[in-house]
Amino acid sequence: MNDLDLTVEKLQRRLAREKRAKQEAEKLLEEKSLDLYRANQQLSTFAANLEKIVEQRTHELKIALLKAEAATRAKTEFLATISHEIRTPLNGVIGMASILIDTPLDDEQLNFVQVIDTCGKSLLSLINDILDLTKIESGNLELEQQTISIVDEFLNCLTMLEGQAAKQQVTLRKTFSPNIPDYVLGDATRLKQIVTNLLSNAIKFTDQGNVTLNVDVIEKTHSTVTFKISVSDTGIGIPSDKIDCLFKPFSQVDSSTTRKYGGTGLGLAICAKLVNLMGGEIGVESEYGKGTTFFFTFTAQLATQEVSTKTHHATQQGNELLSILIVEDNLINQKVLQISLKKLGFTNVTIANDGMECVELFNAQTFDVIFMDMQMPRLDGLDATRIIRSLDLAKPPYIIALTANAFQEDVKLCKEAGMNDFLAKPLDTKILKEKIELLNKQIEF
Amino acid sequence: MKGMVFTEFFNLVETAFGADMLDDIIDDANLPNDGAYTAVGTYDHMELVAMVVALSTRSGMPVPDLVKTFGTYLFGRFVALYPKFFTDVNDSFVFLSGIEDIIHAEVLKLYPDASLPKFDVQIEGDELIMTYHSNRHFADLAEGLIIGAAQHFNENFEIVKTNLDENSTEFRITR
Repeated sequence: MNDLDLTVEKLQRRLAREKRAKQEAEKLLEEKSLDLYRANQQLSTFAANLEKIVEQRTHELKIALLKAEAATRAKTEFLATISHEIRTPLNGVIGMASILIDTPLDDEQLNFVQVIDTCGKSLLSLINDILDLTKIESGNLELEQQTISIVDEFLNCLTMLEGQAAKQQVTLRKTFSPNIPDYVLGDATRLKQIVTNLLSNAIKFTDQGNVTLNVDVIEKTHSTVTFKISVSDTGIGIPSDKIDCLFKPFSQVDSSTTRKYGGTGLGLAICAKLVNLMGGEIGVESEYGKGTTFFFTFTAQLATQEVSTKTHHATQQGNELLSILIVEDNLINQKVLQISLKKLGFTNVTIANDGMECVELFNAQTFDVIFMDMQMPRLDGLDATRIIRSLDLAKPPYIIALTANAFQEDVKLCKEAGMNDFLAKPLDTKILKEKIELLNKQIEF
Repeated sequence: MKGMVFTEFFNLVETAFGADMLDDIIDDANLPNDGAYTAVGTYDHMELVAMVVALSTRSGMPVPDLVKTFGTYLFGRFVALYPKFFTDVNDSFVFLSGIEDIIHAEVLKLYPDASLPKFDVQIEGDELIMTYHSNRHFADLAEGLIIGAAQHFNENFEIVKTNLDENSTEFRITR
């Protein structure tokens, strides 16, 4: 074999080797492609399944959400209805009991009536507390931002509780820091609710001693001020192991205490939630047998007093001259209000059984004040108010909504319809008196 | 057309006519890639046609005979390269009936863009009627493949070929 033949053979072997390598590569490529194809198939099946599962879960969640929302709505509606239904007869019970107390009674009878009165009022406060708590928990409570004087509001709380304190032989004391600004922006009703609750608790658990309200300013910037408010008593104190559950709903320090001191166990839970809503903190320090201090903090914007442009004629008018119209379909409620007003010296009182009668009365005459029920047959209080507000009256009446619907939304509805004020049933004669006296100053004669 | 048809054609030409013949027809056909084909690529079928024509000219054998021979050879290569399609099949009619649904389905997995010929198959008594549809006019290749199948399954086919229209050819097969 010569060199050329050897070279050719070598080259042929090389060629064959290259060919085999190429075929091997092509085979491998096909195999890998097939693997890739299968992996792709698996992935798309997996993705499709996943999508199906996500879709299904989303659907389930949507249904669950709808159900939850429906349940919440049902709960709110149920509460509104129950609240209304309980308040209406309770109005009769408390109203009649307070009227009955002022009639000639022997000691035993007086005691019975006072029990009715007390029970009625505690039932009412329980309903109010439950309504409050539910509302806060459902996130429906919006804090107002009014210009308020902290000192005035808290002094008010103390004044309101003087009677309760005297009964318990408790001395109420107060220390207000000199740094307190004249006016801040805040929700007066809710701040008073917290302070009143803490004070009332302190008095309840103190037999002969002191309860002190202390208002401090702990921080002040050019636009805000942070308060620390504390209520200290020299009462029975709280065992340290019970402190943790104090702010939980329906918790009492113990059942025997519940018997002795009563209460719903909701007050502090409501306070805690309100303080929370205001962005503050609430806490307690107590020594068993020596006394307790509850405190809370909150930050408020500084405010300047708005100068009222309204001029009020301070002329006091004889109560008998004020013409009052009661618009109310419930006979007992008519009677309770009429008697309560009579006791306050208002004798010029007319009654309309529903909104329609009320509007008809305005064809011939006019009234200074209307107590307007909200839910009535034929024409409800809101529509009646709107009609009266549309009349061209020389002296538009002062309209006070009077209703068992105790929700904040109702207050808003009343104001939008053109009412001036709002009284929740059952009617508290003390509040009625305050409103009427304020009214006497406001109405221009 | 799939690259493996080209590479197998090269194999056949090389084996039957020699490497020089292959070089010559590649030159004659004036191919755009100078004959650098790979089994996993896809190429214009007219390039194959050009090479077959060149081979026919050089060898003096008619084009249809060459194509048919190549089809028969190609079938044998399929068996060698893709044995899994043949392991459980013992009957040629069963195999021919499954080309469309089994083999072409697998090809499409690897080459989703492949444009494959279509085979309609029906069995009438002892006769299998296979209709080839393609605009590439490789009915002769199909016939060669059918003959290859008969050889693989050790059967004797009698094939009657009828052109139905420009793109369709019918094969009536008895054995």
